[in-house]
Amino acid sequence: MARVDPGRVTEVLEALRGDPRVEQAEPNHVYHALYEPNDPRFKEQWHLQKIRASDAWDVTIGKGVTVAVIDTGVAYEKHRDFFQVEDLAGCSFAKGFNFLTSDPHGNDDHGHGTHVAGTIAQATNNKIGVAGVAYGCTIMPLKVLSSQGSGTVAHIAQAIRYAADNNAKVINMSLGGPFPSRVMEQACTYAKSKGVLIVCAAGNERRDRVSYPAAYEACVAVSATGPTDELAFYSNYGDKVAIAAPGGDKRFGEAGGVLQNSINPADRTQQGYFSWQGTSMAAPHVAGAAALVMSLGVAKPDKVLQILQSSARKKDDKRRFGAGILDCYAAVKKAKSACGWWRLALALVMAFLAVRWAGSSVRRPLWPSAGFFVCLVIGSSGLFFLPQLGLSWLPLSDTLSTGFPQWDVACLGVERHASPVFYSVAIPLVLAILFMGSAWRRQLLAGFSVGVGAHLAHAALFALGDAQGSLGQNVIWLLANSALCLLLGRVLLKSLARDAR
Amino acid sequence: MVTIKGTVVFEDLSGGVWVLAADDGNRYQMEGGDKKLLKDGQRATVSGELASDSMGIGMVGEILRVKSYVLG
Repeated sequence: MARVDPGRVTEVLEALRGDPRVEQAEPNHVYHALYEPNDPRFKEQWHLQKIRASDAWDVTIGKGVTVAVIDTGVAYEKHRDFFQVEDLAGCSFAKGFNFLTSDPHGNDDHGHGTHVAGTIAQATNNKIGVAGVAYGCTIMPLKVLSSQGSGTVAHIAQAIRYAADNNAKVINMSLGGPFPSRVMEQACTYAKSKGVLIVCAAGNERRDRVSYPAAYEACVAVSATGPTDELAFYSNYGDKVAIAAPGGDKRFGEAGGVLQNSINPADRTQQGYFSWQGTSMAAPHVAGAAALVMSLGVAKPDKVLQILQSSARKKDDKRRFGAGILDCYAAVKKAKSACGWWRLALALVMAFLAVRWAGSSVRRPLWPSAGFFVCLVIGSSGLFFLPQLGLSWLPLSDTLSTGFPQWDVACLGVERHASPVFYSVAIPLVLAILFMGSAWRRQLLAGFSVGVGAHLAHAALFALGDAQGSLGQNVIWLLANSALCLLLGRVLLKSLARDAR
Repeated sequence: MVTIKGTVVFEDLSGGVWVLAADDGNRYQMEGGDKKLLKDGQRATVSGELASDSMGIGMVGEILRVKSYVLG
């Protein structure tokens, strides 16, 4: 590797490429994050820096999305001889299941599943150990593989259906084999039909064909890259590869692997930080990124994949890298604007209802002002089109391009996202009480209230809706507050009509 | 039942898996076996079942359920 002045990269590359002794030359992107978590060994996680995970955390940490880890289990609870590894403390877990023993404790007796879960959701910014891609998401530990790391397709298929039936939005399968199975393929098709994105490792056979289940139509096959963005030596490739992500390459030494907290496979009573390599390690980076995207309100698995692929860092060889190397930050930026149109459409429908409803009770037509519509946009979708217009450089554009409830990230910090104060009628109500003195302000307040209501309705129906989440993510809470926002909008509009008489 | 001659290898993949690198070039993720067999570089003739109904973390080839073995 060579260090080059940023202004001379193209010139040096051209010179190197022209040299017959040089097989290949390309830039090795190293990103410096805007935000660095305080986890002491985060600096060693080159794999998270490659995918710009910490930049994405300014926008979302994946709260409200459940990711099922179908694996050797996860060291997530104290149960019999099992314990929770230190850097999963404080993480959110859904009810697990052990399909080998048919009991609700998906603990790990190998270490593989815990490492994979760590990549997805390791406790982050907790001054301990390392970080994870979507540390706000909920992990569902499903044990299907034995202490030697193998299991039957019957158990795996059961786990896929269990995850789909229990509100998982993403499934990670860092497992595979050379033979297809109809039972498993049907389970994958079923899960996808229920809105689950299934992320699978491409396999470690170094061959031009991905393993099963990665090869199924309903699954996303992930190939593995090393620290220099080249395909890792062990990774499968081929036309089924959808996307590539860091899986580690220890030909670069111990530091070339993916570093997470797990139990020690050689002594299961001990835990530690292990640098491992494999397409097993690549897939959970994509599963975590999918959780980030879904937490912003993108619900359909095909749409999530399309966002991940179109935002990936492009590479020339599609058979090795699919659409390119995962880029979380670019993906969450795309996801944010992807929901904007839906939120705006919902806001317009709700505005129509509020206006008609208020107008019919005072028996005269009501005409909302331009200010009403501006505040409707601010409350619901925000100026989501700013990045598409190339205006991301504007001050506060990150915040302004989201609907008002999402401003909680800027005001309270990303860890308190989906705050019940912002995700409720509270702020529109307080503003209405304080400022409803004049007619023109009531127009603005009515638009804002209906807009917030639309944002909450969208969150309940498509995005955060997850009964296991906090109050601000609860479907009933969101729908009730959405209705209250609509009602408040109507009251404000009605008072306008009365004053006009 | 199959009988496969090869070298037992501890592959540094997915946190570590025991692989039988067969002399014919095929590779198998092993399930079962004991400490005498599971030594990096151990030559062995392994008898067992190819578990076509199974998958694993190694993803290096088929899963071989070890029933018996002869060292050397």
